Amino acid sequence: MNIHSAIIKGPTKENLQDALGIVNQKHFSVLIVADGLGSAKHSDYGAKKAVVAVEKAVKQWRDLDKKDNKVLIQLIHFYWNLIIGDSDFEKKDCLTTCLFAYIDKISKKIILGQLGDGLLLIKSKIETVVVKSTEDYNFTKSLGRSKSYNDWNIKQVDYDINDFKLLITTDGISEDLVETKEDEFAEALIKNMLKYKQNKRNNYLNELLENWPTKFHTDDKTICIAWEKKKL
Amino acid sequence: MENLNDLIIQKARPLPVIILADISGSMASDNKIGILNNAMREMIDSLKDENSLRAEIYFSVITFGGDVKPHINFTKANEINWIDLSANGVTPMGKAFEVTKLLLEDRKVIPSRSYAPTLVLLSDGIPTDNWEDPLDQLLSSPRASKAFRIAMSIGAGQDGKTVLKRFLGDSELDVFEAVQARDIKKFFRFVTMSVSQRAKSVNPNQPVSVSFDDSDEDLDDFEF
Repeated sequence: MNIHSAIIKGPTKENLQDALGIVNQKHFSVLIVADGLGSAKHSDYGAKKAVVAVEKAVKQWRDLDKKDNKVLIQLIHFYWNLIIGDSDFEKKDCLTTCLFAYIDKISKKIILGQLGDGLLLIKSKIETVVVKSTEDYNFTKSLGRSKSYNDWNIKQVDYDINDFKLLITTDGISEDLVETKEDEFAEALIKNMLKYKQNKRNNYLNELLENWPTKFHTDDKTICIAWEKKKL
Repeated sequence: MENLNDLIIQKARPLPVIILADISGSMASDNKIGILNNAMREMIDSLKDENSLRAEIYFSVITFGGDVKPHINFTKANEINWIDLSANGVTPMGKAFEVTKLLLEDRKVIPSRSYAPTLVLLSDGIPTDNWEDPLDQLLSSPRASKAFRIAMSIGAGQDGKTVLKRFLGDSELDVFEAVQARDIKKFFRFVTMSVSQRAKSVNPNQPVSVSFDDSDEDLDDFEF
């Protein structure tokens, strides 16, 4: 599976408040992005710990028999609360979005989870699924504020392990994508990356974010893209 | 290489400013309407000339006087040529709240990527139509509830002020009271500063702290 990513600080911001995590194992992968809320003074820390919390939660959850999605979300909250509670910071100062894609290579299922702004997209021969927040103005749902499973957008989709495309971004990118054309963006991006050698593709993504074409863009930007295209 | 520019929006994110302006017949007295016209024109011109903004400021002006009309449809500040308002008729403020709610909810006009709007309400009297339900519906709508709301009473009296206070809801701001012509200008100077500060900030969705400039510099000195 191809997995590439880039993360950059907004052009006028002091700190990077986005965070990114990728776990790629034989039987599963997890892609995570988090966007610390600008209004929370230690949200950069909160976002980094969201990535850790998802990694820990997935690891624990995989050992369970039933693997209920609700339990996975409960575990993410549990670990994030635990880590923040054990730090010098208060939860209200660490608010962050949390988006993840859990790819199970055995059951051929993908779980997309979204709390707050940002974009998750999976495109395969079976279906195209876009998960995007409908909330306006970034008064966003977040770790540290949300307590209900209903605050999460969760989608579980079957996918073709040999032919799929997956895109996950923070709102620094998703807010500037033409609505309803997010899948075309993912496809075009993959086509462009295929023109580069494997070890140059992250550079391409970085350059794209550094030269982001939207006028006056201010936000941190994080993108992670994964795909498989096997000729059988 | 695939061209991604068709898939990424090039335009800056809009920062909407929606003004609900009372132009009922009583606004003609003491030339309040003339002062309002000048203040609005100055505000728009001043925001047109700003060149360090990080958002594109869009205005929409909804007037209520006799009827409710959009005086300016959702338009970029630097594309507006202000045409003076004239005062006439009763005060259908409730209808203006309904029209504002519809405007805010129209995602074809105000896209999802917009920053939170600033809603400005100014009036010199009490509504002459049913206003409570329309106001409650406006304030409970997702976009208006997150908007930055500012209100000015131009001698609206206690009952009129009550309506304006209710429009502000739990905002930290109180209703501005315009007693003299200069107060209207001061109010719009405050609105200009507030919008400009947000549009310059790294995160325009965050509230900014703008203190009310009470100085009389560059203001006319007469009462109405």
